[in-house]
This record gives sequence, C-alpha cells and structure tokens, in this order.
Amino acid sequence: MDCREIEKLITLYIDAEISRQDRHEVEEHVKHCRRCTAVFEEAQEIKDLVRRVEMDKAPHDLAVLIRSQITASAGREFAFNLLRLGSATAVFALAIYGGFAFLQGPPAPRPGAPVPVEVAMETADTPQVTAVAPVAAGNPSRANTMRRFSSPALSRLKKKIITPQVMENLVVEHVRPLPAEIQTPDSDSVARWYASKSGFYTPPPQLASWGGKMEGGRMSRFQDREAVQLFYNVQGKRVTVFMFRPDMIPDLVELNSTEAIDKTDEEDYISTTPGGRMVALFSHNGIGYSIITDLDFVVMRQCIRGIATQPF
Amino acid sequence: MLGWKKDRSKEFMTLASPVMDALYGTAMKLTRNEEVARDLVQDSYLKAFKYFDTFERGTNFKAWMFRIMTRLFYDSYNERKRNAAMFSSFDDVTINATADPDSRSGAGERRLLAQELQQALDQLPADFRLPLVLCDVHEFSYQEIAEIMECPIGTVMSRLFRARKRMKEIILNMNQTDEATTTKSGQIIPF
Repeated sequence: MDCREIEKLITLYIDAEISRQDRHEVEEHVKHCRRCTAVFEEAQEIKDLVRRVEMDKAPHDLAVLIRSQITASAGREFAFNLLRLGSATAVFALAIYGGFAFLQGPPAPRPGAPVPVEVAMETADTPQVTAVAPVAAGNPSRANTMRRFSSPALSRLKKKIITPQVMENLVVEHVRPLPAEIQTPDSDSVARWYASKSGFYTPPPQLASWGGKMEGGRMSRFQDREAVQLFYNVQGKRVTVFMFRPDMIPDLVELNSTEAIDKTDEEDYISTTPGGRMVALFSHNGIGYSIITDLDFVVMRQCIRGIATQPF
Repeated sequence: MLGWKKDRSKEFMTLASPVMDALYGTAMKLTRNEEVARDLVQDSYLKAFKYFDTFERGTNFKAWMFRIMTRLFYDSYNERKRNAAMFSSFDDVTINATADPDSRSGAGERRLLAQELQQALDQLPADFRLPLVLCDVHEFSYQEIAEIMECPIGTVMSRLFRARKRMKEIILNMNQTDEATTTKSGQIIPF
C-alpha cells in the first residue's frame, strides 16, 4: 500500500474500525515511514482533542419542560383513544340495544324527564358520539342508553373541574384591562386591602423568588361570586391569581405541600386554553386559587409550588 | 388503559432521560445557539415519543434518538437557512493555512485552550462537525453514525477523514495567527 491509502486507513485505525489485516499493514508501514507516522500522530491528537471538547449539559428547566410535555402528550393520546373506544362501544351498544328494542317494542316514554347534565355534555362535546345520533333518533331513552354504555373513564374526564366555562370566565377576567383598586408592589398593603374586602387573612402568593412582581389587585367575580384578583408581572407578562372560597367549585384539588403536588396528576388541576394560556385551579389552606398565565408550564409549576408551600 | 398511558410515557422517559445531556450537547454543537438547541431537543423528544411504538426494543435507543434529532436538524436547518440569518455563519469556513502536514513544524506550537478548540470545531461545516462529535465524543460506531446520518458508511469514513484534516488546518492557522503564545515543545498541547 502507498502512503495515500495508508493515510485513509489511519482514520479507521484510530477509530478502532479497521480489520485485523489492515491494522497489520498500517503498523508495518508506519514503522518505516516518517510522513505517515506524523499523519498518524496528528490524527490521534485531533481525536483526543475533540474527545475532550466541553459539551453543554441540558438545562434543568428543559428537562422539566420535556417531561411535562410528554405527560401532556400521553394524556392527549389517551383521551383520543378513549373517545375512539367510547364511540366504538357506543355504536356497538346502540346496535345491540336497537335490535333488542325493536324486538321488545318502544319503551314507555317518560315525558318531561330532564336529560342529565353529564349526558348532555357527553353528547355535545364528543363529535364521535354525536355522529351516531341517527341510529337512536326518535328513541326517548337514547340519553339513558348513552349514559349506561359510556366509559367510566370518559365520564371521569368530563368531570374535570376546569370546564370550558370556568376557563372562559377566568381568562376573560385575566385579559380585561380593568383598573386595579390597589396598585402597589407591597404585599403587606395588598394583604390588608383584601382582608378588609374578603375576609381572607393570609399573605398573597409570593412569586418574587422567580422574578414575579406584585402589581396590585381588584375585587372581581368568579362563578358569579366575589373573588380577589391579584396581578403580577413575570418576565414582562401578566400572571393573574384569583383567591376565592373553595366551596364555589366542587372537587377542587387540595395542594397543601410539595408531596401533594407530586402525588396529584397535573391534569386534575392544570389546563391549557385553546389560545395557549395556562389555567390552574386548586385549593390551599382553605382558600381556592386560580392562576392564569400567558407563560409556559415551567412558570405555572413555579407559581403553584409558591402557593402550595406557603405555611398555614 | 390508564396503566397503559402511564407505562408508555414512563418507559419512554426511563430510556430517554439519560440521553438528554448528550442530545442537548450535540444540539448546541450543531446549532451554536441555545434557543435553537432547546427547540431542537424539545421537538426531538416529542417526535420520538410520538413514534415510540416504532422503536425496536433491544436496539440502540440513544442512536435512535440521535437519528430523530439529526433528521429534524437537517430539515430545520435547511428551512431556516433559507429564511433566517441565524444560521448565516454555518458554512463560512475560511481556512488560510496550508494542509501539508510537513508544514506543522513551522506553525509554532502552544497550549490549545478549550475556547479555541470550540472555535475550531465551530468552523467546521455541520456535515463534518456532526460525525466528529458522534464518533469522538459519543463513541458511536461507523455503522451507527451511518444510520444516524442516513448515509453510507463510506461517506462517514470520508467525512471523518476530511473533518480531522480540516480541524488540523484550522488549529494550525490559529497557531500561526497567535505566535505570542507559542511554546517550544513542538507539539499541539491538549488543554
């Protein structure tokens, strides 16, 4: 082999990709050729240098963000599969029930019987289920059939506390440019102000540790009842925190410690609006909290942790 | 079903978490931009999770993740290269030094700092930088690099060969332009 061929084999040699025969050839050649010895040494030096190049490590917040996105993505896939399964089950059940009803004759109608809210939501929100309506058209017991055969897990999903109505209510208040009744970065002044208005004797959420700045507050309305609305500025964007009586929302998730946060499925208290805002709803220390932010999951998590770790 | 959902994401994250540093480090080397590297890694993870069912269990997961990121990088890179100035310096390789290995003795020698090594690596085109990082830093085999970069093994070999040659030229050029810090040892000294 000439020097040109050996030079190419040197790359394979230093990367341990060379065959036994070629290895022998290179070693023999290098012993007697000063030029190829220099080429060999330089290639090895470059490899050693690149091996030692500093590699950046993934930032912690990126790892957290990716983990949350994977969880959210898994949740979306799960819900989609459930809806598909639910719709297939519903079609199958209706087919069986339809055949059965045909043989038995029409069941006794119950005039004036209200359609349960939960069932109405299922039929209204689920296009796959709505699509089977013609099968059951004219059957007064359709709603009950749907209820009987709907997946329990699907019903659980539909019972999520952050309903579209709740989200809309919160987001509208979040984006409305209404004037603050108190405008100050001083948390104590804000706490005194809302204690006199609402009877909440607890300090306002401290969001300063991650760059949040209190801007002020106003008395607002949530679910047609009075609530305290606090404004914060985080990274140049507004974060709104509502404080309200927790009995206004049934089944509110209680977050009283970091352990409680770790144990609770985030989907039970955080939702994303169609416009990309994040909404959280939970209770802590006997007060209901809602956080609305235009920022990402990481900021939302920090906000929640800031509130949930406040001492009693 | 709930178990399936949690198991799938848990299995994915168990495999994917340990390779995040390697992916991010490589993304930084490729994009040389923190924001773009974050996006690239994030997109890679979401895409990998989406197609996790297609991953053949028992095969090299790290190489599979790198293949996804590499494909995304080239797609994104090609797109952004057309639209943004962010990547304008990607292939601006200007080498003034000669490539003759015999000229090394006249180039002067000095301690090569980590920052300079990084600069030298940055001056390589992405097509050379990637196989070098995959081979020397992450110790992937030629076969694995060929699969990650979706190219023949011969291309991997020639790119590595040329990449090291260019690295040497760049380093020699650095030595020539900074004689004030030369040493007398006659070798390129690792930092």
